This record gives sequence, C-alpha cells and structure tokens, in this order.
Amino acid sequence: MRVTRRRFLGLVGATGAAGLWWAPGCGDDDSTTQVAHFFTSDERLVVEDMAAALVPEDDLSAGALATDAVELIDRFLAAFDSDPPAIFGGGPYSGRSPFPDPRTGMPTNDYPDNDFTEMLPLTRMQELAFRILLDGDAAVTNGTINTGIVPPNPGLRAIYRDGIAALEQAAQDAGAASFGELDAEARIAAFATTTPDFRGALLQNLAEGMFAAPEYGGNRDRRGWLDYDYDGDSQPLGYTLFDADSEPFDRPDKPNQTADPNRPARPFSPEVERFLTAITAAQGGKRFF
Amino acid sequence: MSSSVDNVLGNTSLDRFDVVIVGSGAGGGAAARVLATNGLKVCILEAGNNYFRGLDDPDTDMPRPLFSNDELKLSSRGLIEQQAIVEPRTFRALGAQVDRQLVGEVNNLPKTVGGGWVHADMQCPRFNDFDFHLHSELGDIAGASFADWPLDYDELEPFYAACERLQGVQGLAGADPFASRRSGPYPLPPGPPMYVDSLLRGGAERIGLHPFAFPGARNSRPYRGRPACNDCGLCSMYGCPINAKGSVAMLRDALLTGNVQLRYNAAATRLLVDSSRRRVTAVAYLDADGNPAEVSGDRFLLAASAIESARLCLLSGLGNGGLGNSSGLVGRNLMFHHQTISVGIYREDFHGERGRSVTGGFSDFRGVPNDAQRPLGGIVEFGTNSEKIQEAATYMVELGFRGAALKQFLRDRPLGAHLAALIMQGEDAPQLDNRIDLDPAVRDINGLPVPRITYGTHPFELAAREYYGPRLIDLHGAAGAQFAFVAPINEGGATPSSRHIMGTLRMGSDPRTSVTDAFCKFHDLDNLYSADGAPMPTSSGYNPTLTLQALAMRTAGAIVDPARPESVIEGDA
Repeated sequence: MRVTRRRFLGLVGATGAAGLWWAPGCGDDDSTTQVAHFFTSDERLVVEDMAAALVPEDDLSAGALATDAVELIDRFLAAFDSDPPAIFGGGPYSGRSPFPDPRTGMPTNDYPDNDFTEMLPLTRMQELAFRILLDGDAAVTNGTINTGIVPPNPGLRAIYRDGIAALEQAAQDAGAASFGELDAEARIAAFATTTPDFRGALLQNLAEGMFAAPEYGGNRDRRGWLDYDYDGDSQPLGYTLFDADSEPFDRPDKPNQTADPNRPARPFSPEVERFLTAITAAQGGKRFF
Repeated sequence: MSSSVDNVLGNTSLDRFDVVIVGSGAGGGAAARVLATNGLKVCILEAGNNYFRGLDDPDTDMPRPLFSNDELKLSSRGLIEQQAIVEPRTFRALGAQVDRQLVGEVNNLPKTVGGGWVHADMQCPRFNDFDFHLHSELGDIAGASFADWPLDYDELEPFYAACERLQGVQGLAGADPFASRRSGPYPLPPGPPMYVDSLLRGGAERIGLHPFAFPGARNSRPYRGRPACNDCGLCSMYGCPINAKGSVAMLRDALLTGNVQLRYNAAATRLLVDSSRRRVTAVAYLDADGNPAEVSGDRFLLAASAIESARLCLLSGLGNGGLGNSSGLVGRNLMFHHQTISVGIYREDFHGERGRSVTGGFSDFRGVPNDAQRPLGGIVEFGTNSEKIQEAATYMVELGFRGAALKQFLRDRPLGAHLAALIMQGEDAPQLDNRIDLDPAVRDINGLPVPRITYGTHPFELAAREYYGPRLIDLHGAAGAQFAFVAPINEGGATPSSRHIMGTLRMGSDPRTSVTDAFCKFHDLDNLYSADGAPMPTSSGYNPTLTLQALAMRTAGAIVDPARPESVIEGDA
C-alpha cells in the first residue's frame, strides 16, 4: 500500500471520528421475531447446567451461559415450528457492518438491513434432510430406505430428550435432587455416561451456539466473537477498501496484510504448549523453539 | 429475460433445445456460454437450488446473492452442499473385500446453481505443458494407468486465456517460473496478500523457493459488471455475498443471451437413447417437487462432476460393458489430488477471517518428469483457518477438552488464528480400479442407487508425500513456526479430503482405451459429451477447474465449428 498524504489524513480522520468506524448496526436485536422453542423449562435447565460445566464462565471470557448457547439449540430443535423453517438465515448482510463510500473507500453511516433474520425457504431435498436430522428417519417417506445397512436414526430431538433423561438419572443415582445440584466435575462425569450421539450433538451444537451469528439465538451480544478474538461477519465493508483513485488498501482498525496490533503474537499457555508438543511428536514433526 | 417462473432461470419460452447440459457448474457454465453466444438453444438441468437472485436479470446491480458471512448456514448446515443424510455415497478402500466401509459423505461437491465453483476459493493455475504427455515422459508405471492427453497445451491455451478473461482471473504473468507459456497477461493484477501469505512467502524465499501470488478468479478490481473482492475472509467453502468471485460469470453471460433456459432443483436420473442405441434423445429428471420429467434435445453434455456424471451413465446402462462403454472404462481411473498438508503453529495471530482463504503459493514442488533428484508433487497453497465454529468443535468434539482446559484452548486458538497450512495438491496417479460404480444396495431418498467410491493410493503419490512432507515442515520453520508436522492421511478407513475430482470418463484417441474422444464426445455415442473433470486422463499437480473449463469450452466450440473451435469462443456476446 502506498500511503499518500491525502490518504494518511483520511485514515486519521476516519479513525478519529468516534463511533463511526466500527459502530455496530442494528443487527443483534431480534426481539420482534416470533421464535419457537423445543425444550420444556426443566429440560432447558438441565441442558444449561450441563453446558455451564462443559464451557464454564471465568473472569477472562464468556462461557456457554453468558453466550446463551443453549438458546440456539432450543430454536434449532424447533426449526420446523416456523415457516420458513429456522435453519438457513438469509443474506447477504447482517447490518453489523456499513457500506463503504465508493469515492473514499471509508465506511459510511449507511448500514444495510439485517437479512440474516429472514430465513430461507427449503428445497424438497433440504426439507427431507433436516426432517430426518431432527425427527428421525421414520418421519419421512423413504427415510428408512437403507435399513439394515445403516443404523436407525432416531433424530436429534429424541437424542436430546434421551440424553437429558440420562443426565437426570445420573443425578438421581448420585443422590442429588436435581442435575443442577451436581458440581461441575460430577456433571462431566454424568455426561460421559450418555450416548456418543448425544455427546457429539451437544458439543457440536454448543460450539455453534457460542460462535454462530447472533441471529440464530446464541452468541449473545457477540460475546463469542468479542471474547475470543474473532471479527464475525464483515460484509459489505470487508477488509480491503477501494477508493476512486488509488490502489486497494487495508482498514486501519483491522489490517488484512499485516499483524493486527490488537492481536499481537504471544506465547501459548503451558497446557496448550504441552498439547502441541505432544501432537507434533506423535506426527513426527518438528518443534522449532 | 429475467424469469418469474418457479425453478427456472433464463428464457422460459424455449421448448426445443440444440443442447442439453446436465450441471450448471464450472464446466457447464463455460460450455453454455460458448453455445448460447453462437445462437444455439440450450437447456441446463441443475440438481440444486439457486441462491443468485436476479442471475438472469440484465440489471447491472444483479445478481444479488443470498450468501453471507454465516458459518452456521454455509459450513455447519451446508446450504449449498449435497446433504448426505438423504443422498449418501459409499466408500471402500481399494482391495477391501466388502461391499462398502462407509455410508455418508464422500467428496461431495456443492449442489447448487454454479456448482462446485460457488464454494471454491477460485484458484486458477493452468496445467503444465508436460501434463498433456505424461505417459510418454514417464513410461509405464506398475499399477498406474498414466496416459497422454489427445491434445496438447498449445491447443488448450486460447481456451485457458478466454476462461481467465471472462471470469476475471487475478495474477501476475511470469511470477511462477515453472508455468508454461501464456499468450497474454492476466486480466487483473493480484489483490492484497494475506498476513499469513506474507510470512510463508518469506519462509519459502529463505529456503530458495519461488513463491507467487496465486492466480484466482476473484476480482481484484471491478470487472465485467462485478465488484472487487473486499477480502471478507469466508471464501473457501462459501458462496460470495457480493459476487466478486467469477463463479457464475460465464453462466450469467449465457443466460443473458436469451438462448438459455436453466431448470434448477431438477435432478437428472437417466439418459434415454433411441433404437439405434447410438443417440441420446432425452434426459429424465426429478423436478423440484420430486415428480418425473424429461427434456429432449439434439446433443447432451454431462457436466455434473466426475462422480455424478459417471453415475448418470451407469444409471442409464452405460457401463459394465453396456451401452456407450465398449472400453469398459466408464467410472474408472477416478482421481483426486493427493493433498499433503503440513500444519504449522505460530505465535502470530493470522486473523484468517480477513482475506480470501489463499493468496499465495509456489510450484517448485510440482517438479519436472524424470528428475532423478525428486518426484513429481504439486503446487502448494498458503492457507490458514478462517472459521470459528469449526475450530471450537475441533477442541470440543474431536479433541475432547472440557471445562477450564477447553477455555484455555478457545482463548489461545492454536488450531485457529495461529495455524498456517501448506497444502500440496499432489498428482494422484490414475489407477484402473480406483473407480465409481453403483452401490449394490444403498439408495438415495429418491430410490436411486448411490455412487460407490473405491479408492486406494499408489506409491507414486506416497513417494511425493514422503519427499516433500519434511520440506514443507522446514518451510514452516523458516517462516517462524513454533511447531510443524504433516497431517496424517486416513488410508483405508476414509476418503481423500480433496474436492478435486477427475477421471471416470477418460478421453483419448483410441476407443479401446478411452471413453471419450479428443473433443470429449463419447466414442460409442453420436451426441453425448463430457464437460467436467471426468475426461481428464491425468490429474496433474495443479487445481483443476480452469483446465476443465477450458476443455468444456473447447468441446462446445467444436460443436459450433468442428474445424476451428477456438474461433467461436466469443460468439456474439
């Protein structure tokens, strides 16, 4: 990038205008949208208690609860209670990022509408796929066509119901009045007694709930992105800016071509470093320093 | 010409077609453009949905894609992917004495208007001169079926240049010292290099390699009605929210001629033939509601991907010694790229959600044939991780971290922001028994047999892996990595990870040893052609899409003017 005097002043001007550069748009609030849920209030509590043990809160970053990760799961399992089903958000923009000025390349105060909240209609094949995924292979015509070759698929809703029941049973077996009475260690021990399908689903869905776009119900206040060094969606501004009369250039607040001063190089924590040392050795790799 | 009919784009009033194309992806779009701009009436069948609003609307603001920087939608839930839960494939390792070892997702490509070229990060290197006569260079190799192509690089060069020009490929001519000759510069200059690219480029130079800006069909400047790429990060495996990728550039040109009707959510199920059994008369398909339908035409192009095109032949009785298959080779010589991926972990934060997945690489490791010092490998891409959910799921699901330990990994991001990948697209030796056929028992939800992939590696690509893997690790060291290793391959238990799919309808001049001829027409049928990665006799060590597009364009050109196919590339567009 060639920084001209005009360009330099332009950058200073933009970054100096408080709130202009990265003012989030109106994309996070979906309170006017009717959303359907799946869990009973008791079930929801069990899932949240489990999630809190798997991804706990601490002083440095939000966990599953503060990001409201379970809300995404609760909505996904009830996806077909909405029309169109709440599976694929619309596009292209969330409204969190502004349009660039075509003359200067700089962000404007013009934010697009939030398209993410407008769910896309499903094709016939997509609907069949997600019906099976959520309700099981017996829920659709031909869903069990490969019975005898692949194991029966009970569907995620049943997997969750059974998994929650197993967690409650484990609590009872431990003499607790409810699952929430177990401490984190005991909850994780109970989790290990549930089926692989449930464990895999809950962990994958919690990752989604913490880090997916907020329109799906989780990642509350973008804590999943803000607390874990991730920008989230950036269109229509993006990271390479174009003005009317020069080469493309980086945003000063979030550079693409160079290191980001807000995300500097840093050593890994000792336990991460131990893990990296171990997998590098196991794969016959090299540790350079 | 904008269509308001459900599941149809383009000219809805057309009802007689000179050419029917199965598949609207990279190859189908390239072929359709040549045919339609030369006045032929074309019907395209696309099994997937359309997410390019206004693709057939001449308004300069169009198309307006429905894609977004939404990992859940595009990656986790697979908006444009073939959903394996209703359309599984099966896999078995070469030599395994079982019907199958896996039922589910096997090298799926997107099923959507624009095909695999929608989720691609649009890498566009050309193949090399020697790729077209590799059997002559190498001689016979035991267990492999290398073959020369029935054309050479110079014959394809005008079509390469046209594909670059029409889609807006960015690159710097001469930057790759190993690239074959070009008739002109790239139409667009390279866009900005990502931070990870800058570091790896430095490492590559320090160990004597020749890195360059990777050529790609993403606008680096506004071009042909599309905006410049603004490096939004979520590129590979995502549709472009602003249409800066050239994914549907040629398809849109074709639609705007008024000579094309694109029926989407229309999944081809069978080719119908006449009593001579030398002519295809129609394609049977399932429409958006799952009802059977047909479209007839004079000629037919298969552009559904090397796996699905071969499957359609087999579903139509064109295989196992049957119709159109006197060579017995339909579905055989299936190739992927043997990707050798070296992972480097750095203290630097690469912020991979900024950029366009891959902006640099080098082709020193492609090598040259018969080099006593080193084997043939492939071009190497500089990559990093741009996804967040997937990174977290790696720690949570695959590595099993819980509680405070998990939090530490989520904050440190060793396999996310701090990961750099060197991805070598190693040549995959063709083998007769690496193939697709129809699974004897597994059906898709429409009741049709699914493709079964039988695949095993050959010592040819393993030698490249063994030779270049340690050198990729050393490159990481020279670039400043703290740790580096080569990611394991899942031999036997799973499939190659590459989405570069080639072979299955091999081209050649001898009908006894090839399925299609030098212009990708089936030897045994008068009006059936292949227009995707299926005709490729060898896989090369470069990303294959530009080459398959150039081939498809040449096939279409030969339909228009058999004597001078290169003279009709532009048509009346």
